[in-house]
Amino acid sequence: MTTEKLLLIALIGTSVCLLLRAVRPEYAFFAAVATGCLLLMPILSEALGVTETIRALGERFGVSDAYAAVLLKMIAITYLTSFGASLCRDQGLSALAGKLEFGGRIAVVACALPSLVTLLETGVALLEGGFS
Amino acid sequence: MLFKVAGVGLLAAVIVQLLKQNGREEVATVAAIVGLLIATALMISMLSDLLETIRGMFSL
Repeated sequence: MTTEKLLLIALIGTSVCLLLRAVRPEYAFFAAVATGCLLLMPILSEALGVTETIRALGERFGVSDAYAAVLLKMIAITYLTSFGASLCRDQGLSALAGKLEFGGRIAVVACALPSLVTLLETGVALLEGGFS
Repeated sequence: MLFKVAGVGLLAAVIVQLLKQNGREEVATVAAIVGLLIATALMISMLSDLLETIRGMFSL
């Protein structure tokens, strides 16, 4: 059901974009963005089950909910930046796409740093406890 | 929503063409810019929908 919906949206969006590109190229970009949003909506509602499973797994193995939240946040950042970057690249602006991806990477690292600090502190505490 | 963008684009193209044929170049430019603004507003509302969905899904 979902796959057929996606296929239809993608095909119709492509034909609309091609039509607009022939008439007025600047509107083809808007049509591409609209198609991307329309495509992502059903995918996201499907992916809700995946995030629920990740959270449930974290609870099951006693991992703090904060870590699952960080993981999901990083996934969301990657998703958004790749969406924007591919749209930019489609319009021939690969320089902008590269900068957007770079920004996404920085944001992901910034998200991951607190967890890394916690990990290092745990290791240091373990070592100090072991040698004293 | 996609067809709204397409309709705005085609309508703007027709209006600009008509105005240009009637020799009103400056009005045609204004019409083209207004069409672009309408399409941008449509696109931004769709993008905000998408962002809201993502925010709700990842519960950020």
